Amino acid sequence: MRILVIGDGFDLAKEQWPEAGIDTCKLNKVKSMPGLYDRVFSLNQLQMVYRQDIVDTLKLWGSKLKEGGELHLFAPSFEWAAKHAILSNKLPLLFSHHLEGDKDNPKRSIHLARQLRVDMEDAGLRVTSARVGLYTKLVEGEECAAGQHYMIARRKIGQRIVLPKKSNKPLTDELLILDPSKCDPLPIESGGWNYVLDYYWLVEQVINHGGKKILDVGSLYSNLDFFLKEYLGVEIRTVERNQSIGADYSCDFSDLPDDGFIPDIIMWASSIEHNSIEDIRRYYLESMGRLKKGGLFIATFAISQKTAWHEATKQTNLSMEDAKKVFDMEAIQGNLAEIKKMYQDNVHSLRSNYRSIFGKFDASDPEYVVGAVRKVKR
Amino acid sequence: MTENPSRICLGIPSYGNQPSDWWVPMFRTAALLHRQNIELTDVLQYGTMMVDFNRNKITRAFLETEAEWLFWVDADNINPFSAVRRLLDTACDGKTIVGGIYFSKKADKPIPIAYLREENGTYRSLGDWEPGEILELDALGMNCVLTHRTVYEDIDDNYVTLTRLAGGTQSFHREDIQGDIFDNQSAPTDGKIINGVLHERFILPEKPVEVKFFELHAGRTEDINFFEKAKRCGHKVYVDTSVECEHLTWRGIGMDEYRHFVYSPLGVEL
Repeated sequence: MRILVIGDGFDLAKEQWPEAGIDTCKLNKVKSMPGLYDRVFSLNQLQMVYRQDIVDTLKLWGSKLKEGGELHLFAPSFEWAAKHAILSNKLPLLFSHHLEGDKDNPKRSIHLARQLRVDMEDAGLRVTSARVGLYTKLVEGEECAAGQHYMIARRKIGQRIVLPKKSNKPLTDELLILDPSKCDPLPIESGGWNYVLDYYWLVEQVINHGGKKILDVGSLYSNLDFFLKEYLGVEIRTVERNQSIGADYSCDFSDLPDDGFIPDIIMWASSIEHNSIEDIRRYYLESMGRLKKGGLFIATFAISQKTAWHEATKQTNLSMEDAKKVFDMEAIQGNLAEIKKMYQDNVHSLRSNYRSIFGKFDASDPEYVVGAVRKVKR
Repeated sequence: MTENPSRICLGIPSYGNQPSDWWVPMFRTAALLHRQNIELTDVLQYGTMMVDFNRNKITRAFLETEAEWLFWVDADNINPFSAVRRLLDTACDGKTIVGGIYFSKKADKPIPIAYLREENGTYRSLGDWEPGEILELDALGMNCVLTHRTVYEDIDDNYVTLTRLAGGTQSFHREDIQGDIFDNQSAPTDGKIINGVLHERFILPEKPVEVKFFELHAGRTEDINFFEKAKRCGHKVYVDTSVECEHLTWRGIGMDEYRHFVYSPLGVEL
């Protein structure tokens, strides 16, 4: 069992699930935590979130859950504080801690159980347990008890991950511009403005091929890798020439050691493009050379009207003609103008994402779209 | 992608006519179910003066459908539009019985119709909770109770109905039946209380009689009997106090009245 503890609840989580592997992260680092968890455990973290951000925060936490996983959430109880104040005719010692915030945590807020239930629903979570209990906290050297909500919620099955259907057709070589209308976004967090297309197509290829050993080139363990591991049960090794990144092989692809790992699939997820056109070709040929018969080379890359170096992203955008030459293909599927139109129509938020990265989206944008190539080793 | 819709039947035992205060929200609820990914398989109603008989008839009809869930609505309660969806969500971890909360009809003393069983077999009302909590209890009123079909299937499998020699029938858990049961036998002690033990004779019915899920027995309401049977078969009973319902008299009695009942004696003005 894997557990993600947000904030300081490690000891409590360890006590409750002694056999589990526990990752911890700070409240503002949840998004960057890779992979999915059986439990997400949050002890008094939600009160650090602005009221208007609570639903999005809960959504994010829910997105870290595996299917059937549970969010365990502790949050201070407004009802307890209010009742305490009404019945004792004075504010409880922890009331200010609960309600008014303190100088270290000005965002503190407390919650009504009913409101929290609604927030959970809005965040796509199903509450299966909701109780109120007491916790203790040291305030000015004095141990005080305060009421808190303890809720357990599951991600709505409506968010269940649906994998692309396996095709019955034999795999053939293919070069194409990815069509956004054929993409059914997968719940994989990513920083790339267009990765929604890359990820869907790459996952589809892995499913159709059925290979269980993947070499992911140009990547540390990305969320895509964790997704493939989690849902397809594949073994993944990563190669990254940037020495500062903790990949399995911190070296150039050309310098990979021969350690007996023979991949069924070599995958370049929007990484091969970060080279000159000559090196793209070289890496493609080396990839094919490393594959055994029946192995699969898959890569997503940038396609534009003309081949050119794109400084902002430090990548080579390939023209359709050059893409054919580089990958030894005679034809490329997809109409660039029609597909650009879909980006302009903001299908899968592609226009919005592009604008958030590059600060503009003019009539001629995007400058490049996502291309993909699939080659089977004969 | 969405999951398959949950299939439910509405079970409404009723007698007489219902006011618009009841049927307007009822229609709206039914009309909105499909938007909440709920498929309304059927509306099952029985309207004799015997509420246990009505509920048993409705349950039998429900078991003939392909619906997974039977949602009980009483003819004098108003339930929130989101009740079924919320209760289905609450039950998504495997709960088979979960209900909303409502109160007795006395406006000056509304008591939660949600009970905990005492050691002596009596029941006390839920006394202290925070709205929004989900609590395990022993019995509820039947309004706004979502029940999975396995509850009834398990009762059907584990209980048997016998004929009372003095008249009537009663369902018993199979484990409670020891020795033989005859189809026609009597003794002078029949019907007598001897040293505090009631000697009540039961015989095999002339032809098989269906198990009664609900029975009015020993001066207790049929819901108590149902929950005892369900719990005996291993099912747990939960109340989701975020689902607040009203009990109709000449007006709805609900959470507001309850708050007044609790806080007014404390001098708190609401």
